[in-house]
Amino acid sequence: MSKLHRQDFNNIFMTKADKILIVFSLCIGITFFLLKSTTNASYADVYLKNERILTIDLNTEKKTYTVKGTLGKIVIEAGNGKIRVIEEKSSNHICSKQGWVSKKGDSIVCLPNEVVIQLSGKMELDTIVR
Amino acid sequence: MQVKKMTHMAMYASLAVVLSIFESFIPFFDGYTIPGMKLGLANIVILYVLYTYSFKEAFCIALLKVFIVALCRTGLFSFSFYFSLLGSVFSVSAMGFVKRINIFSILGVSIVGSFTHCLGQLFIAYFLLDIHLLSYLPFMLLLSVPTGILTGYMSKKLLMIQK
Repeated sequence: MSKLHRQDFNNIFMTKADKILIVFSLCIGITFFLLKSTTNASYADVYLKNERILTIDLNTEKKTYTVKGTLGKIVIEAGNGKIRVIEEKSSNHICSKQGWVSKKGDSIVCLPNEVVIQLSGKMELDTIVR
Repeated sequence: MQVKKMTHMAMYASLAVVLSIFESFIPFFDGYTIPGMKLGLANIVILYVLYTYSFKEAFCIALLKVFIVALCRTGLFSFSFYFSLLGSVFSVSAMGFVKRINIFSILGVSIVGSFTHCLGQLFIAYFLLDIHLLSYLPFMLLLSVPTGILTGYMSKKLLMIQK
């Protein structure tokens, strides 16, 4: 059998640096978690393969939009300040299981379809669909 | 000796593949309940190899694992393949580096590995899809501590048995 080196064996038990690392990362994680932005988004950008194909205004009545992804069409429902994916073709359905998303900076990622929906507070005057 | 090492390496690689497929059957930690959250059981094997052999062997096992799991599940050179490839390369490189610094125990090395795995995936998300997922970073940091401790503790137990 292969042998353990002496130095590895000294460091097999928890060291001081370990404890510092654990406490440090927990602190950072919790701080950011508490400071997470809670402002509502007003626009959602839909990207297909890095290209913005649609910008949806969220402050309207509920409407459905259809986007063509890599594997098939994706049905998005948006309105009243929130957005979700209703229907899509993929093996795990992660993005439709995610449900409603409404906070600024959140995103829905559908990797198999190469479609990303990102929520933002402001709009970019380019391709607005009302 | 050469043959012995070869068979050991093959065994470790297959263990890593099996663990990595097995962990997707564990409810709640399957990577879909909380997107991207997995236990990273294959990391036990990689850590073990890193400590009993060296960085080179651990790197090979990690690469083999990514390729074989991709062949079994999503297909080679798909998007998810690049995600796990860069994640694994980041993670194993960081673990090798941190182990060399020699101030952390195996638990610390494991936590660093599990965090850099997420970091690698964020990088590839940025380069391939051009999306900024930096807001997930603290969340990932938080999750990587318990999973890192779990895998680190298991590899520590394994190493102590082997001694």
